[in-house]
Amino acid sequence: MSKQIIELAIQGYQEQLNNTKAVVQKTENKIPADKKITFPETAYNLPLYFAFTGKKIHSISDAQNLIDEIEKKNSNIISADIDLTETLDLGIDTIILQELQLAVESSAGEQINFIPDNVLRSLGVQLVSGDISGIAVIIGAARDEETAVEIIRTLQEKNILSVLAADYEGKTMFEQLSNQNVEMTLDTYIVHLGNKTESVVLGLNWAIRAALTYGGLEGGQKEKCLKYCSDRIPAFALVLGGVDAKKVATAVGAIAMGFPIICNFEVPEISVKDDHGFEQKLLTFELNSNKLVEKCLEVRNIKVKVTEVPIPVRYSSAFEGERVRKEDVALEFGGKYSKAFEFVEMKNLDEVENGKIEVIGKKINEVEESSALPLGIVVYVAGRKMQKDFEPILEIRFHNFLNQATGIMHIGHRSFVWLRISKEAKKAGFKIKHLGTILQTKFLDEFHSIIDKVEIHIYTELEMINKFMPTAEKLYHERDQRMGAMTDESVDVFYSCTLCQSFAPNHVCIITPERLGLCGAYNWLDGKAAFQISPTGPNQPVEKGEVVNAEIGEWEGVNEFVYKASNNTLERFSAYSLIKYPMTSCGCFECIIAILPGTGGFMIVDRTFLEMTPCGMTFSTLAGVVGGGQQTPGFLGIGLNYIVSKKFVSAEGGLKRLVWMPSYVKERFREKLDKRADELVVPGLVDKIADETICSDLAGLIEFLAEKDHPALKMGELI
Amino acid sequence: MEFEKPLAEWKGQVQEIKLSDKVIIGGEQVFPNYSFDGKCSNKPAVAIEINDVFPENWPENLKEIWNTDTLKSPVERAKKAEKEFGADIIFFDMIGTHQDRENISANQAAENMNAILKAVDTPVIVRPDGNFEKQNKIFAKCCELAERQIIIGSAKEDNYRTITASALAGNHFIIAEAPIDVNIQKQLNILITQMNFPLERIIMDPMTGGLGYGFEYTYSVMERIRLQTFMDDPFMIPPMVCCVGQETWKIKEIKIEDEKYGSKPERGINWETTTAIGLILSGANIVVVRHPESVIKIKNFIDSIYQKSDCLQQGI
Ligand code: SF4
Repeated sequence: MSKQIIELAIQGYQEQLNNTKAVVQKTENKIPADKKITFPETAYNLPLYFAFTGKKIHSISDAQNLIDEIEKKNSNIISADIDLTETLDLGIDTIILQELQLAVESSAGEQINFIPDNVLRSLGVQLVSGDISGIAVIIGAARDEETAVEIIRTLQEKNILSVLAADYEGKTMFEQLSNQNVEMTLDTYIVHLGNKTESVVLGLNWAIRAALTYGGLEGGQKEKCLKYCSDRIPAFALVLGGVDAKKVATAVGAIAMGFPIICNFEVPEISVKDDHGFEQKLLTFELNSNKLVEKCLEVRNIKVKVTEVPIPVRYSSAFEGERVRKEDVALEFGGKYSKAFEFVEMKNLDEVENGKIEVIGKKINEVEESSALPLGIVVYVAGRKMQKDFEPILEIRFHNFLNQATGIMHIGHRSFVWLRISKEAKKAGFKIKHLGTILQTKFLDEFHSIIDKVEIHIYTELEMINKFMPTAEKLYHERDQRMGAMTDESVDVFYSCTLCQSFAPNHVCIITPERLGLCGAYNWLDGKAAFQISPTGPNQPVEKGEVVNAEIGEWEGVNEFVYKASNNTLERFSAYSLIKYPMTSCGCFECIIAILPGTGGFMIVDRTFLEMTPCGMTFSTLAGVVGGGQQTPGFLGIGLNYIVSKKFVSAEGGLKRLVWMPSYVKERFREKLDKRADELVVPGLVDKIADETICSDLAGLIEFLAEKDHPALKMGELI
Repeated sequence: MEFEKPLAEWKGQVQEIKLSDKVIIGGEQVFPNYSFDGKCSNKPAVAIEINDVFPENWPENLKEIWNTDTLKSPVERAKKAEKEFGADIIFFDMIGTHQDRENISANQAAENMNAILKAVDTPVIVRPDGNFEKQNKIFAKCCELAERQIIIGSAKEDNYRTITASALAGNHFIIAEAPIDVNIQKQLNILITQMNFPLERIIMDPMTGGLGYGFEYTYSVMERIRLQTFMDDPFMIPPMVCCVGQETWKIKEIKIEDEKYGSKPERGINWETTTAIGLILSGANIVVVRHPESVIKIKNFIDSIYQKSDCLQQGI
């Protein structure tokens, strides 16, 4: 902490001490000795003092004693030779003295704008429930009245409660706003606390009562109360104009409660590292008054809930499947008409300007009806918990987010995008920029736990797109490489999924980089992101722990997890075996593997295949055998993509044992299957695998396998 | 060789909650009737449902037994439910607060609630109706103005914050309601406790379907929840409440005129009673019913299983 601030804080504390002393002395003869010293309409007496010590002030002599106690405690503090903790303590003493002073004044009949308990409650519920997104303690006055209004309006828009306190060179924000006829009530989220610096404490002792009321804390639990304020009360102080010693000491008190200070003039910055290792600013500044509020939100990490997407057409998941037909098109991008791509990239927090949406190139009104433009949508995101790995997960959501707007049709992803805007949407006022608005709002809303900032650039100029697209292509490719190169050995944690426990109570999917969930909808990265987004949800990290058996994919950590998560029913679990402790199957599997006695192998049937299979059962009959969350050796529900994984039933020999599958699945995966066959040194394997065009019965199958010399025949029976 | 009774080992236990001096629920380590494995503890409580407005769509025979005049006065209903019909708990379902019905204001709702709190000595469950915005206003008012501790419902996955904050400030109990779903139920419990609300003040409503109308699904979901409790899942310990009456008295079998279904009033009572008994067996700690006759039958059943299986003795 800068020496200058420490010196000012000490000086401010001294001034406050003298002030409070003077007030108490002056009042002593005015109020009877047995008169209770307290704020009106509260059960907490002097809330800050009560929260920190568990004690109450009963009389004027108690007040005197408290002053003496504080004075004695700090009698040695004369030099600037104190550290951060000691300075913060001094800040706390300062605000306690301020509170005491105001309580004495209030008891002597002076008008003090103390926030009574009942108001605390109605505001508190809104605060805890998130309807109020933050509290701004505004100290001082804005440069001029217009700026004051501008600041307060921005705060109101973000559902932030403003409490106004103290003056700056005789001017107050309260006055400035009154002159501009701004309505100041609880309903407009503006509360005036007073013109003295001391009145700031009325905001602080409101916050501390929230900790006592909603944190289930008791008086005297000082550390816990402070932590509650710091963790859960999204308050910050906005200091306008400048400071004197007393304001500095007060601000230090606020910092001690975990409330950062943002000034509109230059100050030496102070920051600490938070629990996640992120830099947490305690004192900072922003000179541009247009960016002041945004800065406050960023520093305090306040995210404003926006659920309505502000665009001129209706927006709802109900419109997702809607198409825009050729004759209704006002403007389209991509498809076979032009170049188009979409791209998400993660950046550092300070590299992204939240809320910025920029369109470079032609606008919707500058082109003829029914024409096409090239399109590039580049979204930069930043967040304390954002990870590079989440980029594709965000990118894949473009489709779902954009499609929900009426009159917008979106197909494809990455550099295969096709987007249409209907004539009707154009008539309603839909602009290209609104594509950005949709993405901006939805990303911040649905991914608020990982994304703090979103900046969007939309290009409709071929030149820019040609410049950008190669970079995007390169990064898509790198991403695929990275994901493709990930192996189960390369990570320490897998992810669980227990979403299906609602109908298969003991089922747990263990999702590894090389084996996706059996419904095909969740891969390892999805699991990882889902856990970040919803830490209490059904996707939890699973520490692998010690290897029990590498071949079948059995780990101690996974066994323990599965045992608990399956309600103590499954003791052992293997990731790669069809026979030994196979994964359970809930019922959502994309396809089923079933052993075929007499062939040494197994077949695969997917859920769209309705005919008979060589095991004598159709998919639906088989599903009845496999499902329900039991381990059924010899049968396994899997996600389709698992077929081409290196870990595909690798404990039993994998692909070499695959003897039958529906022809369209074979064709769909042809290329990748061939590649896997080469890796297994069985070239031509795919053609040795039968399908429904060859046979649907076991006898026919065995004949075919013999004819083709399928390797499974020589590998011995599976069971 | 001597036969040794195999004993299952259960580590977990349902949270015991004292709603009043007389009404204590939860505390069990096993399902009812499983006293050989562990402690059954407190008997389930039977609650009677009353409303803030006249219940138009109740079947006539149900209205008759309550008497139409009584039904018009929430306070009279509450008194009758407690004194005559033997309710352990009053379930005050404020259907009249719905914005599309009488649209009773939050202040009025709180006043109505206080009238009930004064009229009876039993614990009272309070539940407003309406869209989330409306409900939230009522949660805040009722929790603030309640003249004694209440049980307020219902917190849901997408609307739990205001109710939790309000109940925290007012020191009330909360009902956490999930749509027949173990995962959501657990997540909701966690979310509520993450707001610093003590798990010991939560009661779960796993949602109920009447017998033949989704009852089986509820039954197994509740069984799942309870097994998780007994297997020591720390977030699944709250007791459970089931709103049986609302689900059974609306089904068509109770309303149709058909000789072969037997007498109409009896049908309703039997349907309500059997559903409630099923739910008690799968772990319900409070069942909410409408017919006084059902109260008697259900209480008889509870007494019989809690005596025969010497649950209580075993437990002590
Ligand atoms: S099948 Fe899919 S949704 Fe179900 S538990 Fe597995 S991964 Fe989760």
